[in-house]
Amino acid sequence: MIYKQETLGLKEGIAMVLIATMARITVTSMAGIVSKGFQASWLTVLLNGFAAVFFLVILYRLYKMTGCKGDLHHLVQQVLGKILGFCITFLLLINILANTALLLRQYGENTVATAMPHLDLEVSIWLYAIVSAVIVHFGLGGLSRAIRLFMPITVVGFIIIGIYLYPFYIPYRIFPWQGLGWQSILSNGITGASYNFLILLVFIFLPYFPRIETAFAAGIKGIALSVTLKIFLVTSYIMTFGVEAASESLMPFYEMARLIYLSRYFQNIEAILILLWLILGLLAIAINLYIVIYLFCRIFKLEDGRVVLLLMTLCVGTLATVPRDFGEAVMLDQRYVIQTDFLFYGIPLLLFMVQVIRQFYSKFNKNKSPSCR
Amino acid sequence: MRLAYMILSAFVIVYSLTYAWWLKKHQNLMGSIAIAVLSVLTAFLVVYHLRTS
Repeated sequence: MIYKQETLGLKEGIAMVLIATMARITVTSMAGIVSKGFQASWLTVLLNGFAAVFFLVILYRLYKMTGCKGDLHHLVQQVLGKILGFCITFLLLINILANTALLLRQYGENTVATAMPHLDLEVSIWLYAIVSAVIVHFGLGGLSRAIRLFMPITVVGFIIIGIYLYPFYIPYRIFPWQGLGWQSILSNGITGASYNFLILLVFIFLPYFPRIETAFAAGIKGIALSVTLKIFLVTSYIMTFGVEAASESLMPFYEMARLIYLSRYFQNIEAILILLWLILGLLAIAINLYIVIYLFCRIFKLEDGRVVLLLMTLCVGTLATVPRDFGEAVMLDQRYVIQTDFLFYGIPLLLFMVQVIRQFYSKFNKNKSPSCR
Repeated sequence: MRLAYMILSAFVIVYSLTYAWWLKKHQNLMGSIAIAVLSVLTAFLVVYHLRTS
């Protein structure tokens, strides 16, 4: 499953980045973003996107400086050494495991609340977990191609929501456009950057891309598309509900979708749109689960991920049931985003600094050695 | 549902521990320990979940 000769192209890369970074916005995060950014939430999302590009560019430069051809784990070990490299990749693994569990919980809760009110929450969570595990079992090739096929449907679905909500738009609601002021915009733009943390999947799956330039282009284009869609959705959301109502909702995407009114004979199309984010969630959870298993196999030198797949699905599914209620899950998710910022900025900067210092000392020693003789 | 969850969890944990033992025999001690630790942690989580739900 893990070490099969799969290949990823530019479109698969773009689609994977888009789905992985969009998943959170369709659950509760949109309300969280609006509650912090107020009218300037779209600007906050834009700054988060720039932070992700910064992350990507630093890692790309590192690959060029070191000449490394392997995945992120290989790069980290090459720069920091085996033990520290192991620790950093293990931190990433734990972080993405937590992300998978939180996504699983939120999608499970949202499905029960919006589509299947009589379904038991645990059954909903386990259904998500099992279907994601089945998708992962087909390997990276199957997963990436499924995501590539689904990506246009996602993009069109989001655009349809935004366009058909136009009778409810009150443009004055996005003014004053500075929100709470520049200081607030900058601090929220910097601290919420880990909404796009999974952009690093292009470097985790680097050996599957034909060239590093393809992976880099997939990351940049994927994040650009993702941020554009997020800005479009957040702006539509604020213009429809206003900041006060928008920041309190627990299911913003569903509430936007249920407002759409096409005609007397064609109503309640949120039932179709629920399917859209349900599949989006399944694919996002599958990507996360695949990354967790891939990293686990890489750092512990396992050749086959299928045995770990069952155990990891059980672990993630059980972790998802730990929060007592939806409110606690949302609170944990917000804490997770803040804590992930340390990894988001810390890992590339640490790697970059160590590499620059190493190169400086190697040049210094070269220049010094002839005079010593 | 609860019984099915218990039986399936027990199966997965025993299966994973067996794999960990197999890995030890095939000279991958680190992988073996990792899977064994993960299995034990998952077992604790399952028990915690069963007691609290």
